Amino acid sequence: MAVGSAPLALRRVQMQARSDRLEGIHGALEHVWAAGEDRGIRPALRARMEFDLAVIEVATNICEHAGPAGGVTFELELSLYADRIEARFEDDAGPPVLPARAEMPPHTAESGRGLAIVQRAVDEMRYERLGGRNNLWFLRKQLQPY
Amino acid sequence: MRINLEAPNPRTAVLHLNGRLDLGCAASVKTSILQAVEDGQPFVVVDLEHVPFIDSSGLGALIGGLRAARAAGGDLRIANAGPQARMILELTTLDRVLTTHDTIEAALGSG
Repeated sequence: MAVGSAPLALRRVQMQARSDRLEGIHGALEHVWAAGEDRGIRPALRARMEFDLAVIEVATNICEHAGPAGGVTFELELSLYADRIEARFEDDAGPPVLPARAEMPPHTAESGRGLAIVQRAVDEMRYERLGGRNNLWFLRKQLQPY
Repeated sequence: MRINLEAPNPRTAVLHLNGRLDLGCAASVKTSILQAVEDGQPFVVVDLEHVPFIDSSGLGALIGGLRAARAAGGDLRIANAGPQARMILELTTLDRVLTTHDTIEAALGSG
């Protein structure tokens, strides 16, 4: 992570961890890409699609662990730089269930692909516990101008 | 997500999906496919022309549908996959089991 450089586009959203609220994340992603475009950042479509997918997969993971009852909130911060885009999620959902290694499951599996997709779609994925209660997810994807 | 069902012949169901195929609707899409198979239509074509986004939950619904279709002696094929759908199928290597076709006609006609 470069120190001291401000992002060219920044978007922060706070929302309930519910599967019917994912729309708000798509909106935030569109906003930050559009703001970047206004500043001349035009990444390849493939890179943009991969980052969007990784962000939705992490959000889905948070929603799934929050359960249908709701009550869990999270904050997502999207930061676009000239050469990369980053996402930082912080939630209060309690500990997530992390597989030891995020391997792609067999073709016949109906679940368990989320984390493996994130790992393939971005250049860096980090997870940390904050203060024994909150979860922090950090994603970074390098962008090649074209 | 809107789901419209069409039956071009008695053994075949075409599901036209409209919207993002994600956690919010994956269960209902899978139920629609299983229902068609149960109703005697084991050949299923899922039309993705109006699906701009699929995630792992959506893929799970398609795999669940594929398994049910094949167990009933049929198949599940994808038609009109856009760039995002093609990207996630490739990333997960599921393009090896979920065959994509450029048109519904091609999906209906092959094999």
